[in-house]
Parts: sequence; C-alpha cells; structure tokens
Amino acid sequence: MENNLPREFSDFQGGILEIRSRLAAGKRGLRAEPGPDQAEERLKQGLPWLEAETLNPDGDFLEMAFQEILAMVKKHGAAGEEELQRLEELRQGGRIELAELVRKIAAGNAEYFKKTSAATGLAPEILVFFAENLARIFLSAQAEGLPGKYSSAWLRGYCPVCGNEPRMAKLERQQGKRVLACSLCDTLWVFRRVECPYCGNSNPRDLRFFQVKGESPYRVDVCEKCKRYIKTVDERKIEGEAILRTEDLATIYLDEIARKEGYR
Amino acid sequence: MTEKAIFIDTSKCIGCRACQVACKQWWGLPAELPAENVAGSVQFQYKFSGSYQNPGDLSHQTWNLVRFKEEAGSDGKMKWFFTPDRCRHCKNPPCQEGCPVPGVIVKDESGGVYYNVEKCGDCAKQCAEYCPFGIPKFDGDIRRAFKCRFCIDRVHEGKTPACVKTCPPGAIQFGDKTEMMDKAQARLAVIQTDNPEANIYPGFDYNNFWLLLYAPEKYSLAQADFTRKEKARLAAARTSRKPFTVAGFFKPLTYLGMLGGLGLAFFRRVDAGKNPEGKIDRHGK
Repeated sequence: MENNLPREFSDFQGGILEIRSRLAAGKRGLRAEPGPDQAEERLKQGLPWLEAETLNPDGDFLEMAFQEILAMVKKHGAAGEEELQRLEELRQGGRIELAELVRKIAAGNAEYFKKTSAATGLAPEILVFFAENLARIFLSAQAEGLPGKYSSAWLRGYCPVCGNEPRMAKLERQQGKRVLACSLCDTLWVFRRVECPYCGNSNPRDLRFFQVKGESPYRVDVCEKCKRYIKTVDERKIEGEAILRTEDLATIYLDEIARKEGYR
Repeated sequence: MTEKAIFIDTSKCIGCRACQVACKQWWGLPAELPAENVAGSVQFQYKFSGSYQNPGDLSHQTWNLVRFKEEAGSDGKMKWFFTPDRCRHCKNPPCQEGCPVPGVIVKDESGGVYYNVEKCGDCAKQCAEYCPFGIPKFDGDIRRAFKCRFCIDRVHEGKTPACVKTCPPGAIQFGDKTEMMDKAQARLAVIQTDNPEANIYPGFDYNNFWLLLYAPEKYSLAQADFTRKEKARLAAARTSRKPFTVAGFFKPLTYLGMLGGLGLAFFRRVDAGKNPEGKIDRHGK
C-alpha cells in the first residue's frame, strides 16, 4: 500500500525539489516586506511575518526559475504540450504574470486562480503548480531568516512566515511535540496536540486519527467538526529526520483514503 | 590556528594518483581490488573498466580518488579530464546536521571536517544522505562512516596533508584560507584567458576547492544537491507494481488531480484559511 508512487512521479518531484532547494539557497532577487526587524513585533500581534501582497520577486530571477521548472515538466512529460503552449501564449500576451501568480498563491487567493483558469481555459492545476513552486523558492529562502527552529511561541493554525495553512504534521523525535509544516514555505512551527489547526476545534470527541496499518509511522488526524484532515508522521517510528514536504509527496495514498472517507 | 584550505589547481594536475596513494599510506588504508564501476560494490575480479579510474568510486577505504573521464571533443580529438575528488569540508557541514550522535562529526578550527571514529556507528547513515556531494562512505562490517579527514593530525602538527605533501606538480596546495583564495583568484584570472569555462568549484564557502578548466560535470564532480535525502525517500515510495495508468498517458502533474483534483483540493485548503479579503480569520486570534 505504501509503495505506490509511479516512477515518473517520484523522478519528476525529486527534480522539482532539487530546483527549489538550489534556487532558494542562492537567495537571489528576493525582496519582501516588512523587513526581518519587524518580524518579532508582527508575530506578537498574531500576524505572519510577511505581507503576501508586497512580495516583489526579481523579474529575471523569476523568469529563470520558471524556465528551469518548465524544463523539468517537459522532460518528464508532466503536462500536455498544448497546455504548456497555451501558457506560453498567455505569458507573452501579458495575461499571466509570474510575479502576480506568486503574490496570489502566497495570499491564498483562490478566487484569482478560479477566475484566471475560467478566463484562459488553462487547467487550474497547471497554474497552481507553477505558482506554488515559484512561491516556494521565494518564501523558503525568506523563512530561513526566522529565528528559532519550530518557533514554539506561535501556536497558531497558520504559518508564522507567510500565513498559509499547514500541509503536514510530525511528532518530533525528542519530546513528541506536534510540529506543523507550512504548505507553501516549508516553515515548521509547534502546535497543540489536541486541536484542529484548520478550525481551532479542541474538543477531543471530534478529533480522531486513523492509520492504515497499526504499526505505521503515518496517521491521518481528522476533525469531525470541519471535516478536514492532516497527515502526520511520527518521527520516533522512523529512522532519521522527517522532511515533511517529501513525506507529503511520498504518502499520497493517505490523501486518497482520507478523501474517500469524506474528509478534505 | 588560522583557518586553512586545500586548493586543487586542476590546470597543474597530471593524473598521477600520487595523492591517492599518499592518502592510503598515511591512513593505513588497504588497496582495493579493481571493481566494476559500481559505487560500494567490491567484486573480487579483475575486470577492465575502460577507465584509469580505480576503484570505481570513493569508499570507506578510499577517501581521495582521482577521477578520470575521457570524451571526444568537438574537434574529434580525445579530451581527458582528471582531478582528485574528496570531501569539500563545508563551512556548515550538512552531514553534521544529519548525524544523530553529538561529537561524531567535528568542524575543526582549521576548517577541516572529520569523523570521530570512536563515537560513530550503528545509525541510519544519515551523514551520507545529508551530504550534498555523496562523499561519506559506510563500512558495512563495522558500521561506521569514513571520508577524507583533512589530515587533521598532520595539520595540528603544522604539517600539510599527505596529498599536498606528495603532489609532484604542486597542483594540490595548502595554507591559510585567505591566501589560498587569493591564489585561486589570481590563477583563475590567468587561466581564463585561454579557458573561458574555467571556474572555482564548489566555491569559497568550502575549505577544499578546485580551479577547474571546464564545468564540474566534465570531471565527474558532483554539483551540490541538497535534496539527495529527499530523492531517496521518494524512490523508496515507488511502486513495485506497474503504475495503474496506461504508459504514455500518465501525466505526473495531474497525478494528484486523479486522486481527487489537485487544483480544487488545494483551493479548498487555502479557502478555509482566509476570508475573501485575504485576511486571516481564525478562531478569534
């Protein structure tokens, strides 16, 4: 059950991870507001450090990053050629702008993607894919500037750096603390064990989890109130550190099951 | 002690492998029988691999290996690339980050990174997975990791590493890091006039760097890849069965979509986190 990734998928995602990691390490052309000096003050107020709408990626850097990702998509035939052709036309025509994609995905502006998809006829997953991966390069480089691993004073259901939702959780090795990982910028932060990060429900009756196998290090935490789920890996049951963006990709079978069970 | 560095001037390297031998001699490492060019597999048979490179890869017994690569140039003549490959001695060693036991992996004041063999052992080989260059190699019998030690004992005695000491053309140089950086820069400026592709690899954030005449790939030197561990994880999750989609029709980008609509699933997640103005609206906080 657990080994269910097609080779093409794992090769493709591995290639994308390598691009993200390499470009983020370069930290070129990354500008965002407010500066790191204001991060602490904003976090105290419960605001994420960055204002998504102020993100101002350097145009050349963004274009270069886009071309690298595009090359990887083409190499693995991850998207249809007609769709990529259409995307290129829309970019030439100025109807899709990379910097705008980055800002909108960071702001969690779903309306923008729905509208753009409807107006251009481009599949939403294509737009979201490029937006997500470009934003990730940009944001994860920023996120490294946030002091304190697993910033433990935060305890909120959204990311302290970019304000987006968590995608996956882990129970960390030393004390079994529940650590959430941002769906966009990979930032880690500590969260309460018995609380739904999506709706804030902390009634233990509504919070359950299921596992596929009893001994598996993976489980799916679900909230009966908001019907959301979050995958969790127990780091004490695996060797080494769990890198959550990878664990998320490697455990897609759990998403499938959770959705079949009626969670989203 | 001031910070030191090893500078390998590939333009002077003659591919004699004296550094490889000196390394083995100083550290008492046995010769390895020729193996097929497969990392980690020592097959006890004499088989010509088609290359001067021997053994096929770095191993727990070979910490410094001269890599050889032959290639037909654009003019039809053979081009021969060779340079020693070993630990880069990173500024912030990722292997140290990956090691679960404190004190095993030491970043010395001299700049060298060495593994404390006494404390090392019996783990998930994370140093090897975390290393962006795939340098540390594991001895399966005693379950410990090995790699170039920067000849830390010699360096602390004011001597140069064994490979530096022995290098006949003086291609491998050792000294204060700033001095080595200056040398490398100056040499690069000279070399670049005839070799426009010349470069410093992997950079000055390391205590072992190269002056290369061509791109690192030409020398079979790995480009830093910080996702080796993640790729291994994804590979481990691969299906042993045939994928459930028809070959040629399968599109990874829409793979998530097939499981329930990547695009829409993502939207719902984002939707729930933000109100329509894009402001965060979360349980009264």
